[in-house]
Amino acid sequence: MLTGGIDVGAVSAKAAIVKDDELLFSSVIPTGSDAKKSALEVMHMTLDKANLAMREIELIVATGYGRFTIPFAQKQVTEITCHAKGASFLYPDTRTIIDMGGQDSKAIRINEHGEVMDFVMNDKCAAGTGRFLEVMAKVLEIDIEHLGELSLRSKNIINISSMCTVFAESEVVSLIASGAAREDIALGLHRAVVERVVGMTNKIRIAESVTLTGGVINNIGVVHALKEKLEVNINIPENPQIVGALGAAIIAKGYCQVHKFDYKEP
Amino acid sequence: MKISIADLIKDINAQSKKYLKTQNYIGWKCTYVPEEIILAAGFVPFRIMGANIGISKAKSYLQGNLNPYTQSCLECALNGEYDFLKGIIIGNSDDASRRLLDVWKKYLKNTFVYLFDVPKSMNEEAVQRYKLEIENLIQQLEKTFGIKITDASLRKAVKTINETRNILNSLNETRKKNSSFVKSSEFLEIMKLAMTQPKELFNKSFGLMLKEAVSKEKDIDVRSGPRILLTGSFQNQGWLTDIIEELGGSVVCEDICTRVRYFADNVDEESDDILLAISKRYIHKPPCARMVDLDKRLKHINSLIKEFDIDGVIYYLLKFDDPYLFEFPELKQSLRNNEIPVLLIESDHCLGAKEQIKTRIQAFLETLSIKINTLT
Repeated sequence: MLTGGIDVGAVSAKAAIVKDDELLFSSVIPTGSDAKKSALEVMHMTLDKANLAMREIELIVATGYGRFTIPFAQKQVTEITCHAKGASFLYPDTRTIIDMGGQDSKAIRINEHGEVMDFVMNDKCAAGTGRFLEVMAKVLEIDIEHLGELSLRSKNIINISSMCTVFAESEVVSLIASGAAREDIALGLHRAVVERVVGMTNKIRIAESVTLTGGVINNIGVVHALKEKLEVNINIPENPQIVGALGAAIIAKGYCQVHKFDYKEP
Repeated sequence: MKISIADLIKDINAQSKKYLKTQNYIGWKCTYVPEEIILAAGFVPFRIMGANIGISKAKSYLQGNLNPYTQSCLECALNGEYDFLKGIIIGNSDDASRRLLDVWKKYLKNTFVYLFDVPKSMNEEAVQRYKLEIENLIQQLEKTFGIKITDASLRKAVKTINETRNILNSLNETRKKNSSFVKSSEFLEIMKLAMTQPKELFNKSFGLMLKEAVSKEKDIDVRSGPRILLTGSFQNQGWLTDIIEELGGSVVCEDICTRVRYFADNVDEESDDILLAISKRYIHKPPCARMVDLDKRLKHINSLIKEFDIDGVIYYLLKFDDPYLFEFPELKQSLRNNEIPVLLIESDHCLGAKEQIKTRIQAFLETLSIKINTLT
C-alpha cells in the first residue's frame, strides 16, 4: 500500500511517500509565498524520485499551517499528531518530541503507541524559533546554514538575556559594537533559544527518550546546546525536517486500513 | 414546528429596544455584585462587558498589564457607551477592577459609582461580612436616589432573578443529552440578554418560548464529537467556542462567569432574613479563581465533568488575569490525575492569531478522538 504525507510549514514544504512500513522517498523545498504551488511541486518532486504517479498513491494526508489549502490531500491532521506518529515510527522508544520549526516550537509527550498525551506550543512571538535565528544570522552577516558551526568555535560564554526578537537584535548589535566575537554571540543565541524551548518542554515533564524534529535541528549549534541542557537520551533523525510529513503518510496508511478512499483528480 | 434559538434572540432584542428609553439602568461588573439589590431599588441591572475593540483611550488611564477585558470596559465607558447608566457597581474582584473604579470615579459622569467589597473566603464569617456590605450598598442607594428598598421589593426581586436563573439552567440541562440544540455562541447571546435586559421582560417572553422548546428537545439524544467543558476567565465573545465546534468538538458546558457561574444556585425565597439568604447564595455559589478555595472549585468542575459527561477541558486564560494564571497549574495537575485532558488557550480578549489557536484546538480534539475512538 502506498500513502503520502505533505507538511506545508511556515518556511518549507515537505513531502513523504510510504510503502507499507517503509519510508520510500521524501523532499523539502521552501514554501515561498504560494503554499498551494509549493505543495504540488514538492509532492511531484517526491513522486518523480519514486517513479510513481499521483493516482498510485491511495491517500494523502496534509499537515502544517498550509494543511487546509492543499487540493490533492484528502485529510487534514495537525502537525502535533503527525510529529508524534513520525517520531514514534522512527524511534519507538520516543516519549517526548521537541519540534523546532520556522514559526513554531512545540513539545509533545506521547505514549508507547505514538498517541499524543499532552503538548505545548510557543505563543505568538518568534522567540525560540527558526525565524529568530534567521534574523540574528542576518545581523551577524552570516549564512543561516553556517551559524551552527560558527558557534562551535566559541571560547567565551556570552549571555543573551532578551528573548524578544526585536530586543535581542539590539542586544546583539550592542555586543558587536563592544567588540564581542561573532562565534561567542552565535553560541549565546543558541543557548538562549534552547533555554526557552527546554523551559517550555518542562511544562509537560520530559520523559525519555527525547526525539528532536524540525528544520532548526539541522543547526549543529542548537543540537549541542540541547544535549548540554537536557542530559537525557536524545534521538536525532537523519532528516529531522520530514518527520511531520512522514507521520502524515503513516496516519494516511492507518485511515486506509479502516476506510476505503476514492482517488479524485485534483 | 422547530423553534430556532436565533429567532428567539431576534425577537427579544427587538422588544427590549423599546424598553431602553423608558427604564433606568444601573451597571454592574463581576458576578459577585448582587443584582437583587439593584432590581429592588427600581433599576434594571445591566452587566458591563466591554467590547471586541482595540484599546486606545483606556491606555492613557490604565497601565498595560491589567486584563484586556477590564481595559475594554473602560474604553467603552470613555466612548460614552455607558453614559445612560445612572450608576455603576464594580465588584472588588481583582486589582484591575479597583483601578477601573478609580478612573471611573474621577473621569466619568455617572451619578453613583460604588466598589462592592467581596470576601475571599467561603465560610460563615464571609456570609456575615457580605451581608454587611449589602446593607451598606442599600443605604448608599437610598441616600443617593432618595428611594426606599423594602423587604417586599427585595423578595420580589429575588423571585424574579431566581426565575431568570431557572430558565438559563434549564437550557443548560438540555445539553446533557442533546449537544446540538443550542450552540455555545447562541447560549452566549441569550446570556447577554439575561444580564443586560429587564429581567421581567426576559422571563416573560423568553422564558415561555424557551420552556416550550426545551421540553421538546431535552430528551432527544444527540452526541457528536468530543464533549468539551470550557472554564477559566471572563468571556463575552463566541469565536473560541465557534472554532471548537467548527473543528468537530461539542461545547456542552461553560464554567465561566458569563454562564454557569452566573446562573448556578438560587436565593432561598422562604428565608425570614432575605439579606442573609442573598448573602449565602453569593458566597456559596460555584467560586471563581479569585475566591481562595481551590478545592471547592475543583469539586465543582469535577461534578460538571461527571454530569455533562465531559471528554476534555479547555481552559481559557485572558492575558494578565492573574487569579486564573495562578490557579491553572494546580487545576491542570488535579484534572490530569483523574485522566481528564486539559488544553490552555491564552488570549488577549479579541481574536488574533486564529490559525495558531486553531492548530492547538484541532490537535487537542485529535487526542480526545483517539481516546474515545472516533478519529478513524
